[in-house]
Amino acid sequence: MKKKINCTLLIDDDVVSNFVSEKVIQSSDITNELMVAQNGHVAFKYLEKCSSFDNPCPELIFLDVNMPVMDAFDFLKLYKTLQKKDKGSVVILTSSDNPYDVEHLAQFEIMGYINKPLTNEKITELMEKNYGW
Amino acid sequence: MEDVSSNIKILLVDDREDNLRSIQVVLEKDGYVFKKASSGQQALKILLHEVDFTLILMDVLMPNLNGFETASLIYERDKLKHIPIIFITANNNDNNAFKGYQAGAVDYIYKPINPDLLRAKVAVFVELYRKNHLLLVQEKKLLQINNELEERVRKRTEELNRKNIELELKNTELIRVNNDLDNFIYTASHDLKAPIANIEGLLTALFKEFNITDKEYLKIKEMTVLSINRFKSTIQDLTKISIVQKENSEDVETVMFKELLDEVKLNIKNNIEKSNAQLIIDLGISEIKFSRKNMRSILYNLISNAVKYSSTERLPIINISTRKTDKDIILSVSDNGLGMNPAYQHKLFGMFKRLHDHVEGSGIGLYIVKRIIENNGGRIEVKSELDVGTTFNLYFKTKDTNKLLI
Repeated sequence: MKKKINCTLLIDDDVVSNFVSEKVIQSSDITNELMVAQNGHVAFKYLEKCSSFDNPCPELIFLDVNMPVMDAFDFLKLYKTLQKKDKGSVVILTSSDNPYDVEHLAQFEIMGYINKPLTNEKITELMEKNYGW
Repeated sequence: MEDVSSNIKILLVDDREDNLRSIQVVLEKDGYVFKKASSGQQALKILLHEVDFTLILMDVLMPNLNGFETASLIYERDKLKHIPIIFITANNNDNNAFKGYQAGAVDYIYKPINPDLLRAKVAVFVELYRKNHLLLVQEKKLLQINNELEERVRKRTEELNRKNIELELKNTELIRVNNDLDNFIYTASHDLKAPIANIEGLLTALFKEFNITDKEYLKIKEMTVLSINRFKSTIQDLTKISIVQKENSEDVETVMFKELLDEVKLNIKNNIEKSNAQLIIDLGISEIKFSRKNMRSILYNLISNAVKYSSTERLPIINISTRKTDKDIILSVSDNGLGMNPAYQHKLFGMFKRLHDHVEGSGIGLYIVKRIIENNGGRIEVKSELDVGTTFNLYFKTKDTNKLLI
C-alpha cells in the first residue's frame, strides 16, 4: 500500500527549478500538501512554528544547496538544533555535484541526494527506498 | 703609439756658456729639446715652472750654489724627485760627494767629456724614461679599458635586473590570469548546471504535458535530449578539468600500481572483454608517491583509450609497464591499435580534441592526463604510427619527492 506523505517542503530559490519540481512532485502524487520556501531562513521560520494542527509539519524536505540569505549548510546547522519530534527527512536536490558540497553535507543527517532536474523516476526511486512504495 | 723622442726635454746647467753649447752640440743629433741654465739658481727657477724634464745635466763646480747643493734643493720637491741627474765633474774625487740622496737616479761624467760616453749615458736615461712613459700610457689604457668593462658590466647588470623585474611582473600576471581562467572554468561549469537542469526538467514536463506521439515530434524530442546530454557531459568535463587544477597538491600517498590497475580493469571490464584485449603487465616499480585519484585517472584514461582505439584487424595487445631511471619513474602504456597520423599528434593533448570519431569520447582524457603529470613536474611523451600502434611514456619525477610528486 503506497502511503502518501502528509506534507512536503521544497526549499529552493530557483523559480524555474521550483516550477519543474512542483509539477513532478504533484504528478507523482506522493504528498497531500506541498510547501515552497525560497531560502533556508524562510523555511526554518516555518519549521519553528509549524504544528500538526494549523500548519502541517513536513515529513519530507527537498533542499537546494546554493541559495541566497541562508544556504543548505547554514540551514542544516540550524535544523539540527531544532527541538521537535518527528522532524522531516532531508533530501538534497541540487544541480551541483561539487565534491566539496557533497563532502561537507556528509556531516549532516541526510536521507538522499537527487541531481536536478527532479523527475518522476527519481521520485519513485526515492519513495521505494525510503517509504516502502 | 705616441712618439716620445720629440718630447725628451733635457735641462743643461753650467756656469760657462761654451760648456753648455758643446754639450748641446754633442746631444743635438739625437733630437732632444734643451733648456739651459747658467747657474744653480737659474736651474731652480726654471724647475719652478717646468717639471717635465727627462734628464738634468749639471756641472758640479759652479759659483754660489754648486751642482750637489742644487741637486739637493731639486730633490726636496716631490714633483722633481723622479728626474735623473748626470753630474759633470772635473775629477774622480767628487764621486762620493752626492751620497745619501736616495731619491732620483744619479750618474757622473768626467771632464774632458767624451762625446760618445755622454751620448750613451744620456741615451740610457732617455730609454728608461721612454719605457716608464710607455708603461704609464699602457697602465692608463688598461685603466680605461677596465673602467669601460666595469661600466659595461654595470649596464648589463642593470639591464638584467630590469628584465628580471619585468619577468617577475609578467609571471605574477600570468599566474593571476591562469587562476582567473581556472576560476572561470569552474564557475562557468558550475553555474551552467542549474539552467541546463532546468531546461531538461522543463522539456520533460513539456513532452509529458502534450503526450506527443507524432513521429516528427518524437524525433525532435530525441534530438533535444541528445543535445542536453551532450551539454551536460561537456559541463562535466569542464568540472573535471577545474578539479584537476584545484586538487593537484592534495592527498599524496603511496599508491600501488597493481591495485589501481585491478580497479581500472574492473571498471572497463566490458570493453576489454568485447574487444578481446590482452593486457600484459610488467611492473618494475610497484609503487609511487602520488595522489591516488590522479594516478587512477591517468591509468583509466590511457588504458581505456588503448582498448577503445584498438584495431579490428588484430587481437589487441596492451603492454603496461613501470621502470625507474636516475631521475624518473616511467610508466609506459603501449598498444597495437589504430595509431595516429603523426601530423595530428600535436593536437592529441588539446582540450576537446579527438582524432577518431568512430567511438564515444569527449577528448578530455588525455588533456587531463597531461595536466596532472605536468602539474606534478613530470612529462608525457607519445610515439605513434598509423595502423601499428601507440605508446605513451609518462615520466614522474622521483627526486625531491616531497615537493614534486604532489
